[in-house]
This record gives sequence, C-alpha cells and structure tokens, in this order.
Amino acid sequence: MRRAKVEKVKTEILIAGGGIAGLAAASVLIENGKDFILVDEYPFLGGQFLRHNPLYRPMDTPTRKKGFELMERLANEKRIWKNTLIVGYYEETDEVALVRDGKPVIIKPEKILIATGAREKFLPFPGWTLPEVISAGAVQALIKTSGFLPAEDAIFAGTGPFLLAVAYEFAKAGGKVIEIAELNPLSKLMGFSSALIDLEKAREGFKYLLKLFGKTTFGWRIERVEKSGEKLKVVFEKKGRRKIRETSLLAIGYGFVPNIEFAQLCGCPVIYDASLGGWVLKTDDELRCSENIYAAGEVTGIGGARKALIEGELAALILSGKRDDSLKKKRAHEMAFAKKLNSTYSVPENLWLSIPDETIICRCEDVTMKEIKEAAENDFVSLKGIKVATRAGLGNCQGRTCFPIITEFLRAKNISPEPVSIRPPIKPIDVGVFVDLE
Amino acid sequence: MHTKHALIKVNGKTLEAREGEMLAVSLLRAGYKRFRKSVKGEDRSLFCGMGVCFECLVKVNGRTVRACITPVKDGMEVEFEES
Ligand SMILES: Cc1cc2nc3c(=O)[nH]c(=O)nc-3n(C[C@H](O)[C@H](O)[C@H](O)COP(=O)(O)OP(=O)(O)OC[C@H]3O[C@@H](n4cnc5c(N)ncnc54)[C@H](O)[C@@H]3O)c2cc1C
Ligand code: FES
Repeated sequence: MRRAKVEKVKTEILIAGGGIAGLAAASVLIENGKDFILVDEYPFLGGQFLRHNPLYRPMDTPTRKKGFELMERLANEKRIWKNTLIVGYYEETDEVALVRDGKPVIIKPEKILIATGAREKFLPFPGWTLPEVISAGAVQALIKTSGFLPAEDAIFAGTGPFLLAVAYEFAKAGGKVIEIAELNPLSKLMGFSSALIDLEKAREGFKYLLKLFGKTTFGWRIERVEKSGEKLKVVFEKKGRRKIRETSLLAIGYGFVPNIEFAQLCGCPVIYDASLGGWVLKTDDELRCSENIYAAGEVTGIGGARKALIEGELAALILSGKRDDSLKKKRAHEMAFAKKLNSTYSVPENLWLSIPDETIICRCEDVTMKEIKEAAENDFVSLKGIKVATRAGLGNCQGRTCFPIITEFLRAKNISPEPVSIRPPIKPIDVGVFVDLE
Repeated sequence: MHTKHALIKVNGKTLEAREGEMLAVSLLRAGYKRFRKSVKGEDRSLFCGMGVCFECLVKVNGRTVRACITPVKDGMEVEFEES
C-alpha cells in the first residue's frame, strides 16, 4: 500500500469534542494563555446543543445565550479543528491518532480533556427500523440545523423532558403533534413535576407547553409499529389494554448514554451508574480521570447543557492551575439535579425483558432479540461473548446503538456486564487514510 | 447560510441542493426516503441524525460517508441503492 505522509503536531492540551463543554473549556484556556488544540468530528461546531443554523439562534435561556456567544467568539479560532475524527490513542507514546479532512494526523498532547458528549438510547420494538421511525434527536437536528420538517405530523414516544422539547420545536416549525407518549406513569413523575418543564425554557413557550401537555399520555409503551399505506400504525400497550394510532412519523427517545470510547482507549476508569446514564467516566471533584486526563460534559454523567458548560469551564480552570470553589458548588448542584432527573425518567427494568423475540436489536447486522436471548441462555453473558455468538455490535456503528440495549437487558437479568473493550479505530474510516499509522 | 446552491449528481440524476447543508437533509428534501439496504434487505433511512448509527451510509465520489454529517459540495457525485 502507498504510504501517506503523517503530520505530527505537539500541543499542551488536546480537547476532544467541540460541544458546549469543549468550547467553554477552549474559551477559558484562551483567557489563561494556554496552548491547546480542540478537535471535533463534525463539519460544524457546537455539538448537540448548539448546532443551530447561525441565522436562527434562540437566545431564550442564559445557557443558550452563553453557548452562542462562545460559538461566535471561537468561530475563526485556528486551534479548533472541525472535520477531525479521533481514531486512536497509543499508550506507549501518549499519541493520539486523528483523521483531519480525510488525512491522518498524530497529536502528542501533554494533557487531554475528554468532552465527547452523549448519544441517544433506545428501547426497541418490532418496526423501529422502518425508515419513518427516527430518533427524537434527529428530528431536532433536522429542524434546528436545517429548518427542515421531516413530516407533517408525528408521534413522539419514549421517556424524558427531551421528548417534550423536541415536540415543541416540531410544533413551532409547523408540524402537527399527534401525541407525546411518555412511557412512565404520571404517578412516577409527579414527585418531580418541575422537571417536566425546564424553567429556563418555560418563559418563552409556556402556553405552548401547556397545549402540548394536553397531548401527552402516560404509561403507554409501544408494542409494535407497522406500515399502513403511506402511514405508520403504532400499537401501544398499557396494562394489557391496547390502542392504535396512525402517524406519518414516529420520533423515539429513551434518554442518553455517554460516549466513553475514546476515554476507555486512554485507560480512564469507568463506572456504571444508572442515575448518570449508564457507563460514565469516573472523576474526582476537579474532573480528573487520571494524572493527565480530564473530562467534562455528558461523559461524566448525563446532565444537560448547563452542567456541560460549568464542567468545561471548571476543567479548563484546573488545567490552567487555578481553582474555583463556586463552580465546584454549582457543578455539585447540577449533578444532584441530573441524578434525580435520570432516575425519574428511566425505562422500567421489566420492559428490557419483554422486548419481543422478532425485534431487531443490532441494526447494522440485523441481529434479533431471539438471538441475543439464546446467546445469554447459552452462557454468553459478556458483551464480547454476545458479540462473537450473534454478530451484534460487529457492524459499522461498533455497538454504539445495540450495546446499551443489551447491557440493560443483561442487567435486568441480574447480570452486570463489563463495557466492551475498545480498539482503534474508534470509528470506521476509509482504509486509505489509515495506512501509515503504525 | 444555505442560500448558495450546489449542483450534485444523485445516482446519475442532477439535483439542485444547498451548499453546506448536510447531504442527508438535501436527499430527504428531494424526496429520497431510503439510503441503505440492511443485511436482511430492509430499507433504512436517517435514524440518529448525528453520525452514530451509520444507517445513512452513501457513496460520495466513490467514498463511503455518513450522509447526515457530510456537507453538500458543488459537483458531488452521490450513489446509493434506491428501493
Ligand atoms: C441528539 C441529542 C440532542 C440533545 N439536545 C439537547 C437539548 O436540546 N438541550 C439540552 O440541554 N441537552 C440536549 N442534549 C443533551 C446534550 O448532550 C447536552 O446538553 C450537551 O450537548 C452536552 O454537551 P457536551 O459538550 O458534553 O457534548 P456534545 O454536545 O455531544 O459534544 C460532543 C462533541 O464531541 C464530538 N466527538 C465525539 N466523539 C468524537 C471523536 N471520536 N472524535 C472527534 N470528535 C468527537 C462530537 O462530534 C460532538 O460535537 C442532547 C443530546 C443529544 C444526544
Ligand atoms: S443517521 Fe445515524 S449516522 Fe447518519
């Protein structure tokens, strides 16, 4: 194979991820005169929270306002590399392998700040692979980044205040919200009703949210989804009762899981904490994972944009040799709130066990629940074992979608699997790029 | 943003798209509803919209990419299996 020339770059701090956490950190490092490079896989900055079309940046909450100010301040910053995927970490040399604009680059940082964010989590059902079933996050991204309404009407199903937020944006963009089906019963949510409406957001859209609230149902789970002409037929079940709804689009979302793959490759300790979203990075109260590696944002626990912002600033201050006890306090407050929120809007454990056999679990390899169950009954109770036995997680997404599902299924069976160990490349890339990394 | 137009080729047909917009969005706008056939032959389309699930894989200028995080560029040649 022809050898590509590999550029090598040194920096003091590598920030992995340009979401609100990574950007907040970059800004603080600039103020403190520190040397850094921030990389992000996407062709745009801002991660999940700030990926709006620049023409439409709602300044309706203090966090958004701060976030968009960061986006503006850092828009032309040369030390921020978009289109740059982290693919590997080499322990022997402390080097990080990247693919920048399709070409390999090696970075040798003295310290690393991991801010790789989170992805969505799903409770699958037969039919969830149909093209008209998409994630709630995708609906949000289509609307806020591209101003594109993916359908005229939609049902939003799953759990969490995020569903309501996306349904709200869908309605505001002109879509018809047929129903918001919150999986958890109202009784479970009552103790935490303030979380139903993020107070920051409430000011602008309170009336709207109230309107949507009338469209929200509680305690129904999706049993299956089928095509019915041009529409989807969604069968809901609640305590043995069934109801059928028709819709053009079904948007689903069951919470978030942290993207810990790069951190695992760096050898950072991870812990399972359901109240933080599953496998998360273990840090001290100064966000340190190990001597030279720090973490900020969703990777330390699912807690939303405000928490990510605070953690990005805090980590960068610590990296600049400073301390800030008031930020630490704010962070502790956000963590406590996050834990309550995640525990309230969790998928009831028994539902992982009642996923029907024919349901596809691994979308890349079309592996069904039946195959996963059989593997588990044959004593394949590690993710690695299940992967070998069924091919689940062997496809392009490398288990990012199915492993969190299989993990919850096994945990519901009282088995606690380890997270699967990670090898480079963290995400599949064109082989042509990779030839010269050895 | 998104006012500049780009001419791209989709499975040989010329399409006017918005320069810089994510390719998956341009394809959805143009009425393409499926991007990939699964291992068992099911139609798949955009699912996560954020580069995680790889359901939106298409070929651009011969290289496999995730359409949801690939910006449209003038002259792009896009290929995928239509249902
Ligand atoms: C689809 C979705 C929608 C959300 N919407 C909201 C919302 O509306 N409001 C809210 O409060 N919270 C929302 N959240 C929660 C959200 O994760 C946080 O609020 C906020 O985005 C966290 O910021 P972050 O910087 O930790 O992570 P992110 O914003 O996720 O940023 C992480 C960045 O790291 C990059 N990255 C990851 N891995 C690599 C790699 N290997 N190489 C290079 N770059 C990499 C990603 O491309 C991404 O840009 C959403 C989450 C998701 C998944
Ligand atoms: S839709 Fe999931 S990677 Fe593009």
